Amino acid sequence: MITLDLPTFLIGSLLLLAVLTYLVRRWERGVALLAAAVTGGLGLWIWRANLDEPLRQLGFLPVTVDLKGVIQQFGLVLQLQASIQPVVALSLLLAAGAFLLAARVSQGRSFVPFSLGLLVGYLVLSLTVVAPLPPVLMAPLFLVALSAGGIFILQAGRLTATAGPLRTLIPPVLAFPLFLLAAWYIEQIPLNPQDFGPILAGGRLMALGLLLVLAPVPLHGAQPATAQTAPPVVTALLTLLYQLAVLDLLHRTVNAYPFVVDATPLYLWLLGAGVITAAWGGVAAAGATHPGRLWGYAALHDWGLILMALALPGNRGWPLVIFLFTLRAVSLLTGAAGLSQMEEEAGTIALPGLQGVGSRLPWNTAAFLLGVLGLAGFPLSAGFTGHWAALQSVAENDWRLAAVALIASAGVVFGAVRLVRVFFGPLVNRSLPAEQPVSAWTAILALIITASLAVSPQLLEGPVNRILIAFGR
Amino acid sequence: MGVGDVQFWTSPLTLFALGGLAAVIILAWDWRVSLPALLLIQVGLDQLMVARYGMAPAWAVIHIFILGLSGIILGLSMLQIETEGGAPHLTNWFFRAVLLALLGIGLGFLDVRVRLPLLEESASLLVVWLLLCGVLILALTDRPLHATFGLLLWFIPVQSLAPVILPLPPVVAILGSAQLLVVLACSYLVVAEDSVRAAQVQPITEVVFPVDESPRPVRPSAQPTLVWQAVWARFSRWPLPFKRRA
Repeated sequence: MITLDLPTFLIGSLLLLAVLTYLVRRWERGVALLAAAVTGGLGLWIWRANLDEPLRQLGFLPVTVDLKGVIQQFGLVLQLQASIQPVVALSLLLAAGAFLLAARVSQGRSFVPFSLGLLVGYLVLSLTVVAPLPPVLMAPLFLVALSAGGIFILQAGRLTATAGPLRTLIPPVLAFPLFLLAAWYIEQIPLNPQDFGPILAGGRLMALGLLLVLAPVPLHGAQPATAQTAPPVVTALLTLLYQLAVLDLLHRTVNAYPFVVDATPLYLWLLGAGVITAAWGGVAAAGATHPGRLWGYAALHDWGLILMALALPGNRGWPLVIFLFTLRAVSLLTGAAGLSQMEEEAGTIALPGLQGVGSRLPWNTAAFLLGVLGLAGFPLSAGFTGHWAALQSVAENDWRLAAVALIASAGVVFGAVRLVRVFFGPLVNRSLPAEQPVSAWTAILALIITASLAVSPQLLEGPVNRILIAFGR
Repeated sequence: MGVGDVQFWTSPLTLFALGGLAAVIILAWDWRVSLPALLLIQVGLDQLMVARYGMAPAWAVIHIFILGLSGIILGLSMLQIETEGGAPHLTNWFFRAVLLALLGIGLGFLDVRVRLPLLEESASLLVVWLLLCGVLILALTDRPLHATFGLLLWFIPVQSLAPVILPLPPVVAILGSAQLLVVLACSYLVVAEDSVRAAQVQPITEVVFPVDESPRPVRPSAQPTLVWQAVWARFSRWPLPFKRRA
């Protein structure tokens, strides 16, 4: 019987899969399905794993995995802890969802192997418990490397504008020096605990760094620009993985260094940044005439609301943030499912080529539009309950901020309605093929999931509670 | 006072020259100028840290090696593309000079007294100036080549400062690896961007200032008909005709 530590098993198997899928990347559909099965299986396995019983046998294989096992390499110590168990599982499940969509529509031959490599990077980031510096302070540097790695699959060999992938680098690059400086101040605190100066300086630097890495307006440029030019499923996956890692970083920082909150007006900054981000997302979406860009601005608006929820006082913030993020993932992947199919059939996601596309690809068009509307919290879309709950909570403190977010969401809806008129107007490209059954059924499945969450948000109660318990909230 | 002296690297003139090199990168906006200037900044900052703040000289060698490698990666991309990376952009040297002047005046008027850990005020001010120049470049361009210079101007001071405030080899190693990865990704974008520059369409929701370069129609009434009108038309555009001739 072979016993493997969980980090070794997880990272080793995913890297092995990455190499294998790279070698046979020509068979895109098979490769994507295999990757979806493995990452999905691992995600569910980790989600269900009970860390109180650390030794688990892998089916009929003579392999036992030590869930609490530790590996030590390059000065890093990796271990699965209860607090990050849901983050690891969610990262794997997000990747599985994206790979399933990529099995339907190609997102570039290197998408699966490169994404698996990036996924390993994000898992290392989550699993790191000891590093040369405290893991929280090293994390932004890892995010720089991961964002740089993500550029290759965002550009995907396409001869399109490079602004989107390039802009993904800017927030983490701007943020990481602040964390390194904060590390020096934190080292000074035990030398003279009575001196409040290092606490204040370290707290301010970390708070500013966190704000930068969260990429609110005006550092938002990557979201709409990548949504305009990059393959939709890649955009959705990388956006979600990065934002999940950043939310986890914020949570861990606030827990490890409470003075970041006590010594700085971090929550006030988050609230201000959230309002501006949500408002700008809505205004820009109302003026956007490119479907991908509209999708990106809708996602930006939704992200602004998440930042506002982070700033809620007491224990109300994190449950809402987790709820909103889960719904965001569903809406983004639903939108990506529709948009990727539209791009595949029409050869473009620019508006002139998609005029009347609704008559040939009705289910995928509907999936895209419902994904966009879900990001705006439109009734009967996945995001409705989350947005409504967040707006109510924000309004309890200041109704004007909730009103701004609500008006901004109307901007997203306005942009979406304009697209509906174009998509379901007269067909321009008569050579556009009709929807294939597999493609239609995938879109229908995405629509069913979205609609189910819209009418029964309590379906998410269990998972959200599980994450909250793990987060100690 | 030679380059081997401690006083040379810590003198105000040297610090001013290093800050001036960052300004030259912005003003020249040409990769042939920017790459050597970045290398000089790295060398200067590392020598300052070695001479004044006790950084191990081996780190300086590693930093220069990493930046040299970054330059080679970027240079290879530049050799692969057909058009020059510094081709049409939205600003001219005068506009950039005004922005630099505003930045300098702002720093002076606001009397910014940033004290980075362990550094003296003059060295701290130099680091802050380099970082601000990096941000200015990032704000002025969406082109991967020049954005890389902005990102490198952000990396270089941190690379030099890290071994002083956090003398941990793994941190410096990870920092160097991250820099190389960023440059590699950007050089990939440089190659990807080149093929589409001509066909690129700016999205209408961005703030852009498109320049119409097509010949402007001339109203029939504005065309000179008499000799004195032709002479007046020629001299009214002075000194443009003479400049063109030159």
